[in-house]
Amino acid sequence: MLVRLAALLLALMLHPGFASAQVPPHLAQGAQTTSTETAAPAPSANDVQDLLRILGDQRVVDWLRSAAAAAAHTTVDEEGSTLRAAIQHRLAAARQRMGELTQAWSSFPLVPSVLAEAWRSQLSPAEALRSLTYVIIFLFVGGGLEWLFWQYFHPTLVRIEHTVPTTLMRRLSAAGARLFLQALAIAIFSIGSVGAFLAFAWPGFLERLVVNLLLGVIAVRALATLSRFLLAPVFPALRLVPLDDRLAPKLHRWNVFVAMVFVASLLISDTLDVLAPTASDAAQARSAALAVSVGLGATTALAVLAMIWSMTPRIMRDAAAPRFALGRLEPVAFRLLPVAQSLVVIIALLLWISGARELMWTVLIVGLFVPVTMLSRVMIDHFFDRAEEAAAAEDHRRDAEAQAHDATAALAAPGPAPGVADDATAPAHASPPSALVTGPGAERYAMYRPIVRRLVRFLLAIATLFALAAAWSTDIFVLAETPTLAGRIAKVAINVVAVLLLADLIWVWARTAIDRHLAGYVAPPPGEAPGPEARMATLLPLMRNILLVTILVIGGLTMLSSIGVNIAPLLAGAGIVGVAVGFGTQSLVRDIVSGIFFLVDDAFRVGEYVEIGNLRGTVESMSLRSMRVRHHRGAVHTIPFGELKSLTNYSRDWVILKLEFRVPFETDLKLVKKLVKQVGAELQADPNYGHYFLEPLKSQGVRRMEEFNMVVGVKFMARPGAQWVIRRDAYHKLRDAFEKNGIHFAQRNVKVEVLSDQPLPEQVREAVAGAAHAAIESRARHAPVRDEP
Amino acid sequence: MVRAVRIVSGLVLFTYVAMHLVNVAFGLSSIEAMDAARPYFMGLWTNPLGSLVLMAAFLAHFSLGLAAIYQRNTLRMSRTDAVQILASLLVVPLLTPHVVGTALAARYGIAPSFASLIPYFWIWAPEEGLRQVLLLAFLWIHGCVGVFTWARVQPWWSRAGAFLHPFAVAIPVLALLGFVSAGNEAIRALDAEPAIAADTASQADAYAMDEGETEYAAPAGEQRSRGEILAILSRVNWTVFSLYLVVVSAVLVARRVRLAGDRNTVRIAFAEGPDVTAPAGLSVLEIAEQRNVAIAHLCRGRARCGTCRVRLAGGDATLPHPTHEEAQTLARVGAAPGERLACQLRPGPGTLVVERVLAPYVRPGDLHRTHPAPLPAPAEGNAA
Ligand code: FES
Repeated sequence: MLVRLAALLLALMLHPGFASAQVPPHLAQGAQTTSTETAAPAPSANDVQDLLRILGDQRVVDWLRSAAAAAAHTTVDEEGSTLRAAIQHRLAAARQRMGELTQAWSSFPLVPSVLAEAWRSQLSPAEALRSLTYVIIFLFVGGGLEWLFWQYFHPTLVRIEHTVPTTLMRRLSAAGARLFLQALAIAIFSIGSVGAFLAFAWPGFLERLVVNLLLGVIAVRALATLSRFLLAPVFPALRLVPLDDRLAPKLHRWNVFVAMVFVASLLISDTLDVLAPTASDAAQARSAALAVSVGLGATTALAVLAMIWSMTPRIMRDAAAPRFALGRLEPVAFRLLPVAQSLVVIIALLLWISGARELMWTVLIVGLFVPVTMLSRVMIDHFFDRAEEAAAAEDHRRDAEAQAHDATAALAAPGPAPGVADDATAPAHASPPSALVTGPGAERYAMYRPIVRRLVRFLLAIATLFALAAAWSTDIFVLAETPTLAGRIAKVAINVVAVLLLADLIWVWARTAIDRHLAGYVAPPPGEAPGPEARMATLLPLMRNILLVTILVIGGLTMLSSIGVNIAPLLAGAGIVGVAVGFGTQSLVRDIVSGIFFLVDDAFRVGEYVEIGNLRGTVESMSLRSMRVRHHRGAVHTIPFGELKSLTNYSRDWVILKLEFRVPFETDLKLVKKLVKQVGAELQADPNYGHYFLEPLKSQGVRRMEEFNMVVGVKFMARPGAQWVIRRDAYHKLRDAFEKNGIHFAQRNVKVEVLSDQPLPEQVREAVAGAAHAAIESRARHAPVRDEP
Repeated sequence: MVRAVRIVSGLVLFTYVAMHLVNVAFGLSSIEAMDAARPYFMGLWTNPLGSLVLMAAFLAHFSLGLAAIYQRNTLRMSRTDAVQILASLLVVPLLTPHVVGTALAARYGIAPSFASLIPYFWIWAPEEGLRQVLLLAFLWIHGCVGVFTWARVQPWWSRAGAFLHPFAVAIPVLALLGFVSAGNEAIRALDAEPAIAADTASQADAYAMDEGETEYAAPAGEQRSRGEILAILSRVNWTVFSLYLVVVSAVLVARRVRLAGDRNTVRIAFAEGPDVTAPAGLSVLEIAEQRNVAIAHLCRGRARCGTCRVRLAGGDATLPHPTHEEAQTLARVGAAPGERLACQLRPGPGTLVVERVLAPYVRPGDLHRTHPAPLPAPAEGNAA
């Protein structure tokens, strides 16, 4: 029904003749003259040149000065007098209106006869019948064209209506496309009927009558389409408001009914207004017309009231209740809301009757603002809930599909399919929205919900402001340009409101993003090292506060400057302090900032083994400024983030380790390969580290030949963390296996050929061996063994 | 057989109305043009054979329509069906004065022309003009619904359909505009020369009882006074009208009586939609329509198109055997066993699980393009 009121408002706006017809002429004139004063056309370039030339003349300047000084006293008076005049105008208008109303009241019994007489003078019965014929013909023409249109587009419409949209965007675009098609159909209908009407020439009053009838049909249809767009009485998938299948059609019917009453009253009073001046006793006819239009206005208000009392409590109970957690206030709110709405309608009606058009608009607009804001909020929530459900269902379905795929692949049986299907459908309606925020799709929506809410509220506020300004027939922007007090206030108000709303929007967006990150953080169970999120969790609130302060400062400064305070000294002072502090904390800031970036890069986490320059060790903890790395022999390095140039992380994803054995040339390589494979399988079966393997231990064959032996390579790939243990065990087991199968590792045995037939004495032999050894040793200088944990 | 008679008689009547309207459309040029074009358009029907055919077609169509109303198991129907039935019911009272007038005119030897009738409709008896316009609107709507429902499942439709639609609109629109413009011409003539116009007035008065355009020769010596003829006319009109009311209400009462017997209910579970309970005796299509479950029905339940077919997936309701027509259509569209036409299947009491075979939004074009291969399956997730 809020929607309904909005539509009513819109229709009223689109039909200025309705309301303005009731405004006393001199008042309307007053409004017009003020608007012409404010909206003067821009001067031409030549005029400006002339003005500049004249202003250059010192005498003129002096004269202007003196004149301005004299005028300064009078302006205040003038402002006061215009205000007084306006009030007097209004009072006079009200008095006149009262007179008219009493006259209308007294002539009420005469209404039928007076109007019938006027009607007859304008239109013979034959002509009346003929105009009916015309209207039917034109409607037929319009209807025929529309039918033609649907012949080509109806299947599209059905397709839209019967495809359930899966995402928010698709839902909106489906509803929009439907509205577009229907609006197009109405447009074609209007073009057909009005076009056929325009093709003929008509006598005055008949023309007005026929046009009004046609317009009435078109207006009702347009309003009904709008209501259908929002409520989608038959197609819940396209519904834009959170109503169920019972309420939506009911509300739609009410909407159509009220639209009909409203349009009919509008058109009847318009027709009578045209008819009245032509009557023989114009004054009487006019007051009769006034009486009728007051009666019709009351009828419309009654229809709206009936709708409010029939629908609002039900809607509050069924649809809105779970959304407004009002606690104990709820029953009161339920009872009060229809009363408040009725009050708005009744006051608006009374104001309209008494001719205070601006006041009526003000009441209507202000009365509408709260419910429309509420409605928009509920609608947005509805959208996002549906979208999240759909996204969650989609995510779930994908998971289920993947699972089913795996399962079928493993079992080669269609067994799990029904169970999976059950799983997929269950969460869509079983779990509350908060529990649905699981997949990436659903999460995306949670992020935007508050932003959209704010944005819509922002737009609504602006629209209300403009509507109010339009009701009082002032242009805010033009007003803001004028140097009067009101103008200045308007200007400041515009700036302040804009700054506030923008700041609010930015703040909400940032806060949502940060809070969402924080909500995703789960503290590690005691005893386990926290991940990088832990650091984020400490950093984010800090960032949030910094942002809040920044926004507050910038917003405050902007507002101050728009009020007219000179903020340059403030800025300069703040700048000096900032520079001083900045110099002092330069390296600190560098540490913090580069720390943030290392975190963003996810370069290391607590518990990982890293190498920084020539320092190595396990990351033990991080602070805002520095990280702490413990060497495997116990030393602790504290490294400020700012000092980090590059960092090597040994604990990421996978490591490959290559082992080498030296075996004699005569070794059976096939046997080696087999043995390695065996050992690999054994290692993989180990309960302690078996699961670390990504690729099992395998032989790479001979890697190179050396003087006395071959080098056989063996490698494995594992997750970081257990590689050293695995290496140890691999050596161990390989040696045992080789030993068992008669393969001996090659040993460096130096053969010294002595070119002499006599046996060498023991001492000499030793001396020779020692010399040879030294010679070989000196040649093969091994690289220092790496220090590893 | 019934189907054939209905469509043939309907087509005859439709052609007649269309030609008549084209004739009226000449009013856009002038009243003389209307009269000049008249022999070419109406000659076919004003000879005895033509009027005999017309009469027979009307009677056949009318009685078949009443029979169809009698056969209906529910009066809650789709919007198109409702429009068609209401239009047809309204046509008869609107048409009676026209036909009776024609008959009387023939009897008393008055030769009407557009030149006398247009001023009559627009100036001297505007209510008659209004009646004519309404008659045309209802006739044309009824005819169009019927003809298009029949035509769009025909094989030639996919090629010709798009071109025929504009005609369906252009003919009545042009006729109506011709009617308006002729009327304006007559009114202008009256304003310009009241004396001459008064002459046409007396002339028109003489023709007051006549709205037909037949041109029989006057049987000699049967001149009666105007008042007498008018009295006969209104008497005949009222008699026909009350007779008509009696017949229609008799049909409705008979239908009530026929339905009073069975009060069982059937529960139908639609595969992608809701479970519904409905009185037994309705067709599955009718039940679906009442509950907003979309099922394609290009021929609007005439067992011609086969787009409404559903797969029966269980349930214990008793199912009547397919009628000859249904079996024929099922065979033609190559339906799998276990599929039936929703528009023909009237399940007895019990439960039934059905599943749509086609998407609810098939177009007539899809019908023949993919035939006899299966039509596009319903898009997934088409829940109601
Ligand atoms: S609707 Fe065409 S066969 Fe049933």
